[in-house]
Amino acid sequence: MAGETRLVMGMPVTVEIAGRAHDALFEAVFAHFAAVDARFSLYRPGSEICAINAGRVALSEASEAMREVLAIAERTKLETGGFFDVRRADGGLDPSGIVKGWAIRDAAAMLRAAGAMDFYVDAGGDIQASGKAPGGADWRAGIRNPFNAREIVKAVTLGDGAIATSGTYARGAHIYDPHRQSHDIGGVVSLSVLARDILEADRFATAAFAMGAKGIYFIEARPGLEGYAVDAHGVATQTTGFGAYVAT
Amino acid sequence: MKSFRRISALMLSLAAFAGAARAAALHDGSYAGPAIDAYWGLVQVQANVKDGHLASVDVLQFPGHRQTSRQINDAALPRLQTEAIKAQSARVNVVSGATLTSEAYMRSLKAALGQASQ
Repeated sequence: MAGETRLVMGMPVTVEIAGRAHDALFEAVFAHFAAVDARFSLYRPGSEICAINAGRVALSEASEAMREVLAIAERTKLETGGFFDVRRADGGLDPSGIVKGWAIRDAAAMLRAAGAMDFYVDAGGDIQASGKAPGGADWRAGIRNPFNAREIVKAVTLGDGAIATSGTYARGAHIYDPHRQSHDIGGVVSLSVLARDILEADRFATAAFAMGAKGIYFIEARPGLEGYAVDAHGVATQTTGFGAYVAT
Repeated sequence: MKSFRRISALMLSLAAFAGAARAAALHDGSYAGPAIDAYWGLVQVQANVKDGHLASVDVLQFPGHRQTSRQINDAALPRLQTEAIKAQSARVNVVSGATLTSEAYMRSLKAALGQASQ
């Protein structure tokens, strides 16, 4: 088993491959993430997205990658009743909510194309798994406790699937009171979405989180997705099919 | 097989920036970074330096407002299972969590650490 973690796009990115893997493959995957960052970072004045937002490049002249991401963003906006929107208040575009899942999905495709079958790619806590973990079991992911980063509150079996989590977990620590648990879902602090594909998990986790307490019902209603939402009181709500993925 | 190679992505990113700031000694105290625009709003952190090291980070501002202008259909919401969360001891390969390690977070922290090294 071989794995490597680097800081890319302002977050730790881990590529873990069960079995033998060549260094060149890791280099290629991290180069892919670096290229995505160079094109889509709002913090790099020379990036294509900054050039578009500054009016230096017209959308009609945008790269194929940019047009693909913006098309996915537009589709997501329609599918989520406008809860997902890359158009900022100042009129600029911020496709960050699509880019991460899209970059992980392409990284997984690169690994498969290179012959890797058993691996996962984790970018900032959003994960695409493939095949089996070392020893032949399914890959397992924990869902981080939004109130304690050192704990997990659920373990799920990923198989060839993905998980993405949206949340504001840094805030919860101040308001969590285990003696005040309530069935009222209150403010959602963390929402995890399981899907076959990380791009699906990521974009719908982002949109559903923006819906607040209604978000988990949106995930419930959408075929192919399962979800686990944690509210400010430490009460979790799960979709009907989520239990089938829970590992103990 | 290992579980929890990374205890938390947050810890790793802190270590990375603490490392980046090591060239200049950090002076004890609390330093607020600038508020940086993130996807959902502003992120601002405060770095607390003790004994020359980054001891902790407080999040001063974090996007907490959700869009309330749009409503999704209330009709006939299904009844979903709820439970009180509790720590699990199951072994896992990897951990999913919210990306507090956003660029906005890192930039605010980096600026705060810059003040601590002056």
